[in-house]
Amino acid sequence: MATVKTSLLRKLEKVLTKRFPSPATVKLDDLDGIIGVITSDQFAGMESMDRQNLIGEIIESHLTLDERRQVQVIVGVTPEEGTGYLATAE
Amino acid sequence: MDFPPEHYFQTALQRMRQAQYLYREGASFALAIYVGGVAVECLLRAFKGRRDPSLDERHDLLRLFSASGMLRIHRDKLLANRWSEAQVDSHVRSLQAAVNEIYKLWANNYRFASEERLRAHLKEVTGYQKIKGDYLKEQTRRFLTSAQKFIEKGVVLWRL
Repeated sequence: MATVKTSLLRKLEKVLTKRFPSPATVKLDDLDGIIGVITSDQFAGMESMDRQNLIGEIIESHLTLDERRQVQVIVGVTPEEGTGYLATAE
Repeated sequence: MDFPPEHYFQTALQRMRQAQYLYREGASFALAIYVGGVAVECLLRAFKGRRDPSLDERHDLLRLFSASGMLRIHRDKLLANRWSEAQVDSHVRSLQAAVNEIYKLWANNYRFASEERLRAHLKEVTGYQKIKGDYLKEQTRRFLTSAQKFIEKGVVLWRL
């Protein structure tokens, strides 16, 4: 099971990195399902629902239904939101 | 001091009411955002506690969200309650959007931030949006709307 998840993680990372190339960053983690953060200027001015719709559409077009079920949440933030002075968790 | 899952759940509701009170009070927006985030954290800890009592996610809301299993419980139980796949997908997407909003606007160290400091910080991280009136008040309203939505979805799920 762990191998399958690792494979899925790599696959998703590749898809998202292609869609959000550097200097954007894609950080994914597979805990009890995949979670992650995409940091990109492309999210500037976008509401959270629009960000999730964008990320959701990318996932839907590249992953199978079973694979999608393993993705819990991937949030989209701008570089400012991701690295603000107060944003670092204690 | 140990807190059982039901205690975290009840505290989540209490903190959410207190956050709304602070917002309405009109001079404690930084504290209102912080308390709203704590409400969300309490809810996540409640769900996590029912699955696994160990708490090692600290204040990382994204990891807590994953460990809570909320989305998995959501899907299974809603389908069992005769929701269609499309309805469940829409519901899950809405929950993910609330998480996105909470993630981008909340940090545990907000409890140390003055009104002025958090106002300046949020202007910077949200790109100086065109907002009439108090910038911090409007960002607080948006945050609490997402937090409230998240809590309400959690309440429905908790009783399923």
